[in-house]
Amino acid sequence: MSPNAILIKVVDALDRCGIPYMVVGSFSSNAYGIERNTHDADLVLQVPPPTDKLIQELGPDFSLDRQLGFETVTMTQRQIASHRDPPFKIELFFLSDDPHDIQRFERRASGIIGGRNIFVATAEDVVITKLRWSKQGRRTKDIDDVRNVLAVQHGKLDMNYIRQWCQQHGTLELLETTLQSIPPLPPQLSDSN
Amino acid sequence: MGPTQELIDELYVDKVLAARQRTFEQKFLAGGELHEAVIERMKMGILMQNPNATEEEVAAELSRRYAIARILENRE
Repeated sequence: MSPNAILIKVVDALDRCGIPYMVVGSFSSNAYGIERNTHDADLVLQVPPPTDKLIQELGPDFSLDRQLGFETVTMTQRQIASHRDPPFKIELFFLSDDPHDIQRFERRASGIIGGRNIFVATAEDVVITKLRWSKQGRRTKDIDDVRNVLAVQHGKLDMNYIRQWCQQHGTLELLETTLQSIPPLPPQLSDSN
Repeated sequence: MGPTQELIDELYVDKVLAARQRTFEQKFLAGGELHEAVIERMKMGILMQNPNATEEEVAAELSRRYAIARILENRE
């Protein structure tokens, strides 16, 4: 089973369990930016899933942590679903009471992937969140992802919304530095953004 | 002598323009496809180093290397 099929199987299982979710992390930044390899997938769930039902829905190829963990970069609780062969992990983060976490979940977008609707964080929220993680975790890959989303989506982003949250998260300077690092794009593709 | 900033910028713009040509779905799925290719290469590497390894042994070593790759990715 491919990593994409594994992710879709988890999403289908969450649908059957009635758990609203959105895909975040590298799968979302790939969709809006420039693709890179990823070793796992990250989802945000509106509520923790019923563990036994989810295990049953996922089937014998998966294992699911019964205990919740705490993720220090995102400062949220999570559970990990692991596919055995090939090895691939899906990190299930639970929606926190953080104001931006709540708003990005409300704004989640849906896209057609593999013939079904999959909920994904918006491009603006990918930028805001990855800048925040980058500040907390000092991960250069997050800055690269942000730069790529800003460049590819240039002209389509709600920059006021992004700047408003970055101001609150203390990442506005990092955002502006990242924007300045993007070389001028060809005129026919640039706009007044 | 390394590449000039002008060349680095030109190559980056090319990557941005190419990404704009691909669909949301293609790009969403690309990370998983790349991971699948990496896993296949890891399996080949394990078999080259351990030609007599059983399927179970290959799977166990693959899981060990995958765990290391995740740790390294999250430290980058």
